[in-house]
Amino acid sequence: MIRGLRRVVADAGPVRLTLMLAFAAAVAYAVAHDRALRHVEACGSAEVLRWFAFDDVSCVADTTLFRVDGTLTGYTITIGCTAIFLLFPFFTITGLLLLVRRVAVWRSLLAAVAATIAVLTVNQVRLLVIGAGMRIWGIEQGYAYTHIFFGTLVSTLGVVLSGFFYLKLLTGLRARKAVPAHA
Amino acid sequence: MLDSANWLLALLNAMAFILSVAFLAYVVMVLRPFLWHREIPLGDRSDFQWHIVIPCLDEETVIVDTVEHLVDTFPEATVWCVDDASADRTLVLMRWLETRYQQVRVISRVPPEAQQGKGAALNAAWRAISAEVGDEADRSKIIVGVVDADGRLEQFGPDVITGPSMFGDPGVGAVQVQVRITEDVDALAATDLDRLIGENARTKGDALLVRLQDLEFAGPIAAMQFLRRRTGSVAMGGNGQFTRLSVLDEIGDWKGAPWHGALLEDFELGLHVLLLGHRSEYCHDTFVAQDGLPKVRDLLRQRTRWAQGNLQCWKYLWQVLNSPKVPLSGALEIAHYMWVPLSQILGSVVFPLTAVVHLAYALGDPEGPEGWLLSGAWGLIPLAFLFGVLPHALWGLFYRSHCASLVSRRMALGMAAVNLFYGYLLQIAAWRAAYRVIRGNGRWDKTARAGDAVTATVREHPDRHPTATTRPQLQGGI
Repeated sequence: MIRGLRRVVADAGPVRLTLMLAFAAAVAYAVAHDRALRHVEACGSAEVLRWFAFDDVSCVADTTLFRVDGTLTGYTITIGCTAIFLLFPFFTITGLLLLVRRVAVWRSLLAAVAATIAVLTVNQVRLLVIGAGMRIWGIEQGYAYTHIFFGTLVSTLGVVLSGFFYLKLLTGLRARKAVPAHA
Repeated sequence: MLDSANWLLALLNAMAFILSVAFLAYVVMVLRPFLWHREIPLGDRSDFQWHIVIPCLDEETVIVDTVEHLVDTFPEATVWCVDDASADRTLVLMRWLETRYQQVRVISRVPPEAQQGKGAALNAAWRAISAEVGDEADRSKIIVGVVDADGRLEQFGPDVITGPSMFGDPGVGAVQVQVRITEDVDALAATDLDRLIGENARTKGDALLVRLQDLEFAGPIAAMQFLRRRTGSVAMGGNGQFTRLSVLDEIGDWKGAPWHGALLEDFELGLHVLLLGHRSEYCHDTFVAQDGLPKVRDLLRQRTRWAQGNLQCWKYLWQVLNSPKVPLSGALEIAHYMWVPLSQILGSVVFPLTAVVHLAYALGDPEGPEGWLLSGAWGLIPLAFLFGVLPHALWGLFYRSHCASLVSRRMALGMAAVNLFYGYLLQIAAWRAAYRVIRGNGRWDKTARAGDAVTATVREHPDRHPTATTRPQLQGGI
């Protein structure tokens, strides 16, 4: 085990190792400041709702507020609702690939950034679906219809597509070519 | 306190969601090439020289029929029977086969070298083949196949795997053919699977557990191999595995011998083929049939060995990830495959825990479980179907539509339902494998043959069993 880790460190070299540690620290910092991130998500969601002509939209801390039929309502981006956890697999793979010399650093980071944007966007779409449900079917019923079932369906589709997108960026957009025999 | 509880719950939910989505995404990825596959063009078997190795340990119930099938169907092949110090009459039967058929060779391994695992037995065959063909031969035109002692290679197999996209391409170093599981290998091997559509199956009498194994090999495992064709990471299996002798030589030069000590020595060989820059291919248009395991205990023992072998191959992961000769897509696919036993272990903890948490929510809801359901939790029911049932069940339907219609529509639906439990049953093997790894137990547990129990009966009551007299000339010498 220790011999294996030594080999990984030796193969990766100091620059990639430092990059990987910096990346891991950045992710850890972001997770530790999840309230700030959830605030950003709540305000992002408020902005999206504004585009779709919701009334009196605002964001307070980690909550997005808007009016449905004159009643002020909204949703809170809890730790279970944020996109942070959905990004873990992408960040874990990226962190490991930063140590692999044959994968360009820019490609790993580009794929991670793209996946982050994609997953954050998907989560915004999910929140929009919940908001739209509350506006269409009423606050109680709309939330009940959307926050688990439709919301999870949107997240599933979005995360799967984000995953494919991430892998495409990571492995290159062209089709696989045959590797020459023992070149 | 509340915050950390929320964190844990969120983490649990997120893990359940990510595992489910990853599994679903993988199923979608493997389905696409599987459902749209086209037949490959044939080659010419006479362009190559064939050597087929049968590693044997206590195979007296099956070895004669297997060798005779190979000799009848592939008279051009040299058949190498490797006895690994069997305790039964395997070696005696092999010697008899050797005197009867000129293309049969016997390699007898004795302790302390014997019983060191299948890889060691295959290496002995490689050395013997190497010595027989000599250095002058074009070793890239010599194909070494591995067939289990209960295996039946489909009659057109060599023509199919020498096609232009298989060994007809000099870049291809190894080919794995489709594996089919049955209780009647002769019937299946004699059946043209392409013409079975709409007909009654030849495997009609197979036990459900055996059919589920066939479903697994012809369905999800085959589909995984189709994906690997695209990513450049086709894995070798223990049965129906073909490699150029020149490639085995290269691995031998590099590592001392082609096969090594992992309990999943076939997968290990495939990794070495890839690491040397050769391509490995999967061929779905021919097959090798092998006996299924009708008992759950034997099946779990086999799968434990596979899962443990998988964990042992983690030592190659870093090398694979860094090798410029393995496409990155292939390296990631291999990493994913190695992760599977761990994800099974993780899933078997995360999913029940998630269920318990939701149950607690339901029971603790002020309006009771009904109120909890109406507040939106009803959505969990279709989601559980989507994530937990559908990815397993759909293989039952594809088994009928894409695997030669060996079952009726009703049976396909039944298998779709039962395959769900089969999938979860195999998770036990991952736990057992992890336990064996922690205990440092790397012993090779040979897969039991369905006929082994019959042999025991014959030993005790030879007069009651009809096959005890089918080869009387052999009985006297034992």
